[in-house]
Amino acid sequence: MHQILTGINGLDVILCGGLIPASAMLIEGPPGCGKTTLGVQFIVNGIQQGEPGLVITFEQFADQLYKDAYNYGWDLKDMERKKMLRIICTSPSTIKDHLLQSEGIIHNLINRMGVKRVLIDSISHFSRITEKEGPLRELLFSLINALKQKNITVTLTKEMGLKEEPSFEEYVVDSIINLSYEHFGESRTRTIEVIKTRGHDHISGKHYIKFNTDGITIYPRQFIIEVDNPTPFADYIPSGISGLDRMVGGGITPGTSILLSGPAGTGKTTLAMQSMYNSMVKNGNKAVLFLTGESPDSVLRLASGYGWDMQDLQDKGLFKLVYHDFTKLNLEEHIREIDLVLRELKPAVVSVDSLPPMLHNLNDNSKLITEKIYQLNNLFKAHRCVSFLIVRTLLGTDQISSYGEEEALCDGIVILNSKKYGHTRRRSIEVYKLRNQKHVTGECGMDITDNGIRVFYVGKGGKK
Amino acid sequence: MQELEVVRFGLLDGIVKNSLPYRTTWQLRGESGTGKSTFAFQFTMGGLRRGESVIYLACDTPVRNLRNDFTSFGFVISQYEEAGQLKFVESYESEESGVDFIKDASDVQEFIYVLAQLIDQMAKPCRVIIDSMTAVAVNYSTQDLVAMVHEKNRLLRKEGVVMLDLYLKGTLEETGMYGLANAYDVCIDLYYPEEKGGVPQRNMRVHKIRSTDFDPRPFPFSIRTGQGLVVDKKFYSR
Amino acid sequence: MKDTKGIEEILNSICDSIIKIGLVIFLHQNQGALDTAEGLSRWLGKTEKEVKHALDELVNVGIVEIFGEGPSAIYSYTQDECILQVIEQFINGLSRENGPLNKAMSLLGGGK
Repeated sequence: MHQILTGINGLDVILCGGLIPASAMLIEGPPGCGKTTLGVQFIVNGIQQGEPGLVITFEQFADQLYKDAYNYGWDLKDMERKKMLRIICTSPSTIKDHLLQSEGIIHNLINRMGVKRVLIDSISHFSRITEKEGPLRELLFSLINALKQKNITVTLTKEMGLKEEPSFEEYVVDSIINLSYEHFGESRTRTIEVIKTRGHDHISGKHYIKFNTDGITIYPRQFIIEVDNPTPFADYIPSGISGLDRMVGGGITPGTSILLSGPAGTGKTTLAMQSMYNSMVKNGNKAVLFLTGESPDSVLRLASGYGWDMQDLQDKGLFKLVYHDFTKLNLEEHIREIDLVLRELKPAVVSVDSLPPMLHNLNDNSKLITEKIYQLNNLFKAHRCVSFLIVRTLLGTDQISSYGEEEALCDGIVILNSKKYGHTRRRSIEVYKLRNQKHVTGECGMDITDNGIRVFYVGKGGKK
Repeated sequence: MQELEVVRFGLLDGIVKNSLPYRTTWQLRGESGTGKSTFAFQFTMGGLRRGESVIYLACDTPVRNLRNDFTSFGFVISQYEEAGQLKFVESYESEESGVDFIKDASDVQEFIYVLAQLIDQMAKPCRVIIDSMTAVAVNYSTQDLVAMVHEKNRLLRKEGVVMLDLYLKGTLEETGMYGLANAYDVCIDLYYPEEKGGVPQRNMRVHKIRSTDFDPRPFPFSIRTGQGLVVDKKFYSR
Repeated sequence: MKDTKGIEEILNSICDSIIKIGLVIFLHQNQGALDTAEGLSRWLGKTEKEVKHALDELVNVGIVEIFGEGPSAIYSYTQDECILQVIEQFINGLSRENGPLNKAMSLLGGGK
């Protein structure tokens, strides 16, 4: 079915393609959560696509709307001058009289402008005409139908308490989205949830929304990510560490997520960097490092200590380092950023160094952690990347992961460790799990030389 | 079927009935001063002169000393080293720059890995000499050593590769030595026989050769600069 | 063509009525306003009666247009460019510090 794009970042994604033309969408939520802004953005985006819009407001002064919109870079006054927009401050009874009557002023105005999108802000005011549900429902129904018959797509806002039973409005509209406040980590943020859509699918659940300088952006909590024409990588991506590659039969299958765990100082960052470096230099692939724990400087210094000039690769466009201070990281935004980076660069190998700081703001909420790791993995899988998710464990324990959730979610687990033998400390690597790939089990010795990691495996155990 | 490539080593001609193929492991045992290193040098030079490559793992002494030893025996090796035909590996105290090394000889996995990597890199045929296993053995119990050697030989036994391991006799338990011999295709002893008066004469005796006949009797030999061991093969026919 | 000078006179003459000033300012800032007297009285927070009275006066001078009759008649702001310009100047004059606009707005209890 043909759908029209709302043009609002992320909204068309969660609406699985947008709205059906000549349908009605209800935006409900408590005061101040962005209902009007979302509605205005829908109108503005229509105007930008050449579709004239009409805003009918029962409570907001047009003056205030101009100012608010201007903050997002939308010059509503200019749009009005160009006859692409009309903002009408009025009352429900006027709308009733002049929209439903064929010679009504608003009726004529709509015809004259060729309006394609209408925002009614807000329908809560219709109770001024009557408090009775039956007539109210009938009134709303006829209003929406009158607009639909003119091939107009309508959005209506509705003031709503935090917990309210579904009301009659919900039966007369085609789709409903709910805006609300949510405690997300430490801070209170706004969320959006599609309650229903008629005639097309949507992504259920609450999605995080943010007010950016260009309007509202929705960060879809997306579990199924579709990437058109994912990069056709080789059958497997070698790490370039010969012993490790032998352990797994030559390399890692594209789209495999690997939990890289081990105590501090066991070489996790080095292993991931070396794999990325080798993949770029030896196989001409691209790589991205999503850094949240350490500083970019220290990681680049570590790499150059092994003779890996990541800066040079970055200049050549093969490597990208995306750094965020984890205390300020917004995970939903970051996940969207990751998706965009992957779409742009199409890397074969990515590394998340490290996972716990990236998930820091989830406050150990295990449900959310599971969800986010799942989401990350799906993202990397959709882009066919070999991904290393680095997790630090405690020395001398059998702990594999930080949260106890990651091991089940990742396709593979590689554990780095070190143990004391007499007066020397020996490093080891173990491919603990690797889905759909033959691999050597048990610990294998390794060390870290001036040139990086060497894995002391000479057999052919991983051969398919 | 392709003709099996054989290890050319004149020293054993006449004592061993048929030529020995590659993909074999050799054990050379001997007391101190019996000429093990000279035997190894000769084995090295034999390969190099035939255009084969050689990996020489120095465990008892730094590589720079070893180079001098080659020279003092009249063997010139610099051109082979420059050409990359001869590769020294060190497993002895601090690492000399430019020389491959094994950091921790007591780490079986590293030990085998470093050699395997080098073997992969070198042209075939290739002779691999470990001088000596005794230095490595001090890190292990006899039982672990036997297991380690078996593991090493299993993993490194490759087409076009012959391995020669030197052992200082008398440092390992006899029972252990027996277990070790099982890991080798060729076992050769160098020793001084019990003195019967006069100048002590060094002897070489082939102990074991898998799948070919050999003369098990001891043969006296002398050491000559530029040649190495010179075995008196006519000793019994005189 | 309307006589600009005449409009100025009219503007001056309505300055005595806070309701009228409020209405003009509201309509000028929210030019899309389209409502009944009752509806507009809500926007302004005044009684319907006084708003209707003011509206009728503004209709008479051409600042406001009226559609329909009786209680369901709806009013809208003029779209005459000349009048709009004059009112623009008028409001700018009012909005000087301690000017009548601020006083008017504070009395109306709305706006900025």
